[in-house]
Amino acid sequence: MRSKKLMLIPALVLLSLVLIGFAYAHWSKTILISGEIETGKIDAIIIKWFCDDPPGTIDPGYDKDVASCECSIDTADPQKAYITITNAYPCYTVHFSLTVKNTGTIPIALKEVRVDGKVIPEQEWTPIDADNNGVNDLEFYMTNSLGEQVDPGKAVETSLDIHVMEGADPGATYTFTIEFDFWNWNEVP
Amino acid sequence: MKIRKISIITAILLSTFTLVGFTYAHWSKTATIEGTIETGTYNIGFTPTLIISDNELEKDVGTVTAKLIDLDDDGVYDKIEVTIDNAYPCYEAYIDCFVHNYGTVPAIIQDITVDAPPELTVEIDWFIYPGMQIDPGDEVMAEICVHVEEIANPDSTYTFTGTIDTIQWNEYTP
Repeated sequence: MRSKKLMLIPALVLLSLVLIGFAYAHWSKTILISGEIETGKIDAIIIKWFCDDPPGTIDPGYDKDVASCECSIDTADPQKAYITITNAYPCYTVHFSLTVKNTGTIPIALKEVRVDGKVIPEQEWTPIDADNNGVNDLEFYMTNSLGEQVDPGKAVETSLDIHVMEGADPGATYTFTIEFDFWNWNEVP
Repeated sequence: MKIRKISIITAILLSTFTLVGFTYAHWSKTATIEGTIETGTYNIGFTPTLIISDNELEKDVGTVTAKLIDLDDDGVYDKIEVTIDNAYPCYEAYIDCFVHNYGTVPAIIQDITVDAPPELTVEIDWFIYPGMQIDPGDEVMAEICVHVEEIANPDSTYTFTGTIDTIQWNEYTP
């Protein structure tokens, strides 16, 4: 009975306060900022190739047509190209180039060139042991290509020289993968 | 017993009314004081001026735009919508805005919050900070800086939100 009375008291106090319109609040306001960021596309394809010793021509630096070099672009994935050198011999050197078009929306620049994962510095012959027998078989030389900026829709020519070394075996087939690594231009020194 | 209850209720009501100034008496004379209280207005918002820029010097690749919105149609902008297109790692956009006190009561910045994914760093500062007071008619500049991080993916969409909470100056709690 006593507790009922006690419960009645706060209810009546509140009722009274409501009756006389008592109110408590502070004034505040929140202003807002929202943002949506869409990043651009980084994309490039190989559109053209060049080789200075196609089949039926005199080998560069020599007077005979012995070896030859062919290149093809993968039609399903134009980010890939295939180079085939036939009937090569020690000291055979061939120069080839690939023209890469920026098909993205961000300018790009060539950050690095790798052959079988090995970085090829600019203007420096870099030997590769293509068959992993402990003897270098091929060496690669990259002409000035690093850092050149390519705006969207534009293209750049990247070139390499391949030299067959003395350690190459007769009747052998050497395969290698060359990777041209393009970055967004502002990250390439 | 019933009379006692009624008496208690009446006593409580009377004491409550007394506490809040209500007067009850049999013999009385009322002196009337008429009062008019006009409360101030409280309204904080952005001015129509936005200064938009980015960190591109040699090329124009990314773009940033910003739009002011009046959410409650009271003539004061309450929201800024930022849109950035063709962004890339290390792209940075700056939106300079002005927070204005359109009311008649001083306001204080209570809090500034940002909710952004790890691919973005968003800062709202320069020269606004919690605890800053804005008197009626005054304004302070704030810069919204959006930086695209290295981990951002190409061809993706990221969103962020930010708030600037204000409160009447005498209710501010640090």
